[in-house]
Amino acid sequence: MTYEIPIYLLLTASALCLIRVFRGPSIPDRVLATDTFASIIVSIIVLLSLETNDFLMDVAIVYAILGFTGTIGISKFLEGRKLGE
Amino acid sequence: MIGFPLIILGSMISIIGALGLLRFPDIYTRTHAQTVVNVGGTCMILVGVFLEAPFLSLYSAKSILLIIFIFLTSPVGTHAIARAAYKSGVKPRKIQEDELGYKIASLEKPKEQEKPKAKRRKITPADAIRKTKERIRKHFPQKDDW
Repeated sequence: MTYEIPIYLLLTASALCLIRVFRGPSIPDRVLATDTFASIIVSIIVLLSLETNDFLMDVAIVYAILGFTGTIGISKFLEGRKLGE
Repeated sequence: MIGFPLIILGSMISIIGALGLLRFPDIYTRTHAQTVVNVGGTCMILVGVFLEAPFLSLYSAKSILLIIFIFLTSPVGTHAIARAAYKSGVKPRKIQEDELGYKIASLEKPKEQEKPKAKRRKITPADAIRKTKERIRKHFPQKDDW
């Protein structure tokens, strides 16, 4: 386990992001913190894939795409438009 | 072993970005911290993984693909969130005049702009002293000797 230290650092960073998710005053704050949380989780999954298996990299790619899609969808919903516009 | 310092540096940068996400006062400044985490942290970790992985394999190709994807989608997502926040009515902290709001709602901008300027020109030092005396009397009604 040579990558224990960066994984622990990234876990503390994701915990800080979760604090902002829980006490963000407005909805776009929470969306922004969730996007940051998703990118930190992507880097954790990539570090785990270096240690254990290669296919976790595919999981990381799919998680990044899902986080981006969710962010765009929620921001369009907040703006008051439909998804087709 | 070249990529390991890059990985540690990227994780520390992402901790700094998360701290900024906690400490900044506003959404429009928190987007800056989010970009630090996305580009500075995750992309640096992915460059380190690319250097650690066996050269020219499918695994390193996937890491390069993730780097390109994050570089393309991070500004798009941040811009969309900031735009949605402005459209849904979240105002920046310590804002003085909202010019884009006039433009979007097509309101009368000059009527609200001229009045405070005319008031500002009329203020003299004697007026300022009188106003401060009135405020003090408002807060401390028993002291009239001021």
